[in-house]
Amino acid sequence: MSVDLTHLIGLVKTSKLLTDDQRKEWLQKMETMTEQQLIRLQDILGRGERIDWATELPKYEAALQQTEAVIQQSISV
Amino acid sequence: MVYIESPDQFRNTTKQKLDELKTAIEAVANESKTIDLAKVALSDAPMKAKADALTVRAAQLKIDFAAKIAEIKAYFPSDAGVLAATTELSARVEKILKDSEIGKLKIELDQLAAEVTPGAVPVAGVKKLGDLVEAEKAAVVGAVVPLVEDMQTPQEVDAGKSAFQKMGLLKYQPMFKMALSLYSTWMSFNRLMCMGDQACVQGVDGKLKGFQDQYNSFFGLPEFRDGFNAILEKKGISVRPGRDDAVAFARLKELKRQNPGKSSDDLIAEIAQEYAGIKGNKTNHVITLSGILFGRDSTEFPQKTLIGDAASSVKIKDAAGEQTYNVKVKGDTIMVDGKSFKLQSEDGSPLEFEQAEFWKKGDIASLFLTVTKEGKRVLSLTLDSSDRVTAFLKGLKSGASPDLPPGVSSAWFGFKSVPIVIKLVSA
Repeated sequence: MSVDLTHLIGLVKTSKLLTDDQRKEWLQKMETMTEQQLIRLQDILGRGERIDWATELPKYEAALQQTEAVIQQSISV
Repeated sequence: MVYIESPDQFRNTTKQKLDELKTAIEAVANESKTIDLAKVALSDAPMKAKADALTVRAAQLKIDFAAKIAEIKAYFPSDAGVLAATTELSARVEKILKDSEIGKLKIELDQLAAEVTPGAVPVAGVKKLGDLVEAEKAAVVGAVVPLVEDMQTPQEVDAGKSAFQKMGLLKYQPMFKMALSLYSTWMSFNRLMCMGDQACVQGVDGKLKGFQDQYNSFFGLPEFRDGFNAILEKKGISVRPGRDDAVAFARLKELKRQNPGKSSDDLIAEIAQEYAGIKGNKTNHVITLSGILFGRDSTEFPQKTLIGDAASSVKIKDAAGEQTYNVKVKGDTIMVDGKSFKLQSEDGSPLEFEQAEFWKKGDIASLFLTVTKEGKRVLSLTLDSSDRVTAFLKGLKSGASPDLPPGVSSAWFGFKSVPIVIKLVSA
């Protein structure tokens, strides 16, 4: 697997995994990242493009809810 | 290449080069740095809003999680108890989040972000450089380059200095140096992107080398100039950038070939001492590298243009003794002892010889050829020794088409180079 810089910049600019502030941070970060790190970023964001967001977002929301509940209850574990 | 240009040509090329450099640097900078969020087109805006909201919620959750860990620490009396409880909690939270695709990807992103160490930003300051170029550019227009290679009187020295300062050339050197360093960084970034693809790596390296060569031909090999400066400054002589620096380097190479036993440093020291000796006690003396290398009579250095309606006779010494070639260059044709060759480009566009200069001092001959396409220079060929000039002319005389290096169309510093294959074919 290799990095296509233009493609990666495009992914960072549009990925729903990132908020707008995070986009800017990643674009800055990219300039100091190693080849392997860039590959990983491209891989993660690439997988983010391929998931079905309509199905996955509610799942993620449910996971967050569950996590919130776990954290709330954890003191009595 | 900057030699053998008239002051006007030189001034115009400098300005043109600065314009091109500025555009190229800005393009590179914009590619990686600029992000106009207003223009980020997300087809599913509501989905993005929802995703953003969840990201914010997840961030809050992280804060809550840290608070909870602190709470646990306060609750458990022993360290072992804290560890067991927090590990268990972390594992549960991670497992829940990893069950969702988005959660999994976000965890990976967080891990990656934690690994990236903040460091130098390679293309920082680029805009600033662009602005600087813009501001200095105006000074280039109207400035005059002194034609005198070796300025003798204090008035001439001052005139030369002020002309160069006005032109900003001395100021440009550090700027170009900076551009070179920025470009190197950008290219090493690009090199990474090649991922071991050799053809790609070579392409990037080629571009970088082109840039470096241009820089060196413009401002001189740094160690070369520094060597001269170190010796001559002690004697009240300073070296300024000259239009013929590239010729001077060619001359130094020739001298090195003639003195194979001498190190480059020794050779430089010797030439500089010799020059200082000729100049005697003159101080506040500003000269160019070619001024040093060709001695005090640099203005008398015989230079002959081969372009014209009549053939010029060119005498070069080779192993068999002195040879004479009758050379005529006109339009797209070069003729050597009756054999004619025409310039031909791969794409059929018309080419023309712009310059064909023959230089000779003692037994050392050099030949400079430049070729233009639609008025723009695409090839600059330096044959910097008698051997190379002889090989070139002898080849043509025998009717063999010589190999020319590839030309470059509309390029500067290798940024936007379009290679162009140029041939000399028998006419």
